[in-house]
Amino acid sequence: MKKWFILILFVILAIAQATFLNGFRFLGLRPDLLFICAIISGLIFNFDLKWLIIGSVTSGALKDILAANYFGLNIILFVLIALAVARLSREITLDSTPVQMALTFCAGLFYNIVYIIISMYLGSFISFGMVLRVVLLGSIYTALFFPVIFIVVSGLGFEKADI
Amino acid sequence: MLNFKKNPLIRYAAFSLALILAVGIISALRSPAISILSIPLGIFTSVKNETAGLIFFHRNMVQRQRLSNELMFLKKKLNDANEAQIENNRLKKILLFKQNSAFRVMASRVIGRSPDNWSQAVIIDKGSSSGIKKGCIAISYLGLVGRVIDVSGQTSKILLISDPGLGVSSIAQRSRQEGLVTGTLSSNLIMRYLPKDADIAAADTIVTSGLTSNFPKGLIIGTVIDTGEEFSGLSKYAIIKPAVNLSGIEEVLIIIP
Repeated sequence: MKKWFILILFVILAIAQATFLNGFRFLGLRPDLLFICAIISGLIFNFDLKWLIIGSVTSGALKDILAANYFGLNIILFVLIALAVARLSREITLDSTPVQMALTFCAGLFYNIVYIIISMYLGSFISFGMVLRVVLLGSIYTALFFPVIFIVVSGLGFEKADI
Repeated sequence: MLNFKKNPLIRYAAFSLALILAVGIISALRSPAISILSIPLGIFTSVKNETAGLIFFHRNMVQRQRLSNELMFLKKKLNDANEAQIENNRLKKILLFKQNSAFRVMASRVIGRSPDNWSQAVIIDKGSSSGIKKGCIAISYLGLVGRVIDVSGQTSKILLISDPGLGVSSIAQRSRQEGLVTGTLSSNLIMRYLPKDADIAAADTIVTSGLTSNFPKGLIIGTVIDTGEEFSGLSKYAIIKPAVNLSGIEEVLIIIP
């Protein structure tokens, strides 16, 4: 039952991201809360493949529903990233907040680079400056928001050790 | 002779005269006296106020709390009133535009925005049940906003002109120079595929060309703020400031075909 709460939290975060997070814009960028949800799915469900997939697919689907890009791309990328995070968390300790933020930043870089390559391949033209801004600053901004969301998830009673 | 002691009338007159003189003298001395007394008066008043403040500390604290709450309440009411007035002005402009527009338009409210940094889109509160179809054009009373790319029963998704995925065939109003306006993800747009000798300059107004059936002719897109040469050196581009503030848009009008 408790695991369902996290999906409700993801929906709330998706709504927040599509509405009032516009007020948190910095250089036209917003933190990607749904991406953080995918990372958190990988961290807390690292030994529970079923819920890892459910969590990451939910966050990816929510983003695909609300965004205006190619449907399914976020679902695929979020699942891949959550699986990679889960695999990594089995190998090394990812308990400290700075390490988790660094992980979010690196995963953000990967996600944004893959996204821009696909976008450009499909015909979108985005200037190099804007690409750099979204890839680097967007990933940093998202990583900075990671602890806040993780605290909320921890508040629901999800701890990595409990799973 | 006059006897002051025995004549009461004289005694009374002398007393009255002395009193009038005294009043006159005191009246003349009033201002300097007050000036002299102002310093000790001020000190005493301060001491009294401080003492009263100490004695009535609790009462003042309660009073302050009550006033603070009242202030917050009034501030909120003022803020609500300001917000209502701004909204009223905006809706009046939309209504006026709607009445004067050559198109059949439907007003709708923005209820959400694209959650990612790679696309620029908004979600509105009207969908297919209100007659909106995929491909409908979204405008505001200031100019072009975007195009409907997704429709559900009660909501629609509009791809804004600031999205790199949306291209609009457009012309410069002055020189009739054609080009393709696309988004850049930033606050400005870019007009591309202009010939090297294109007659386009800063402050030119860019409007839709009507060459594609999607966008009606003559919708204002924005104003040229800068021009430059493409990296290849074969063509020119123009940076356009959109007529509509796309990042803060709250209401849009959908052109119903």
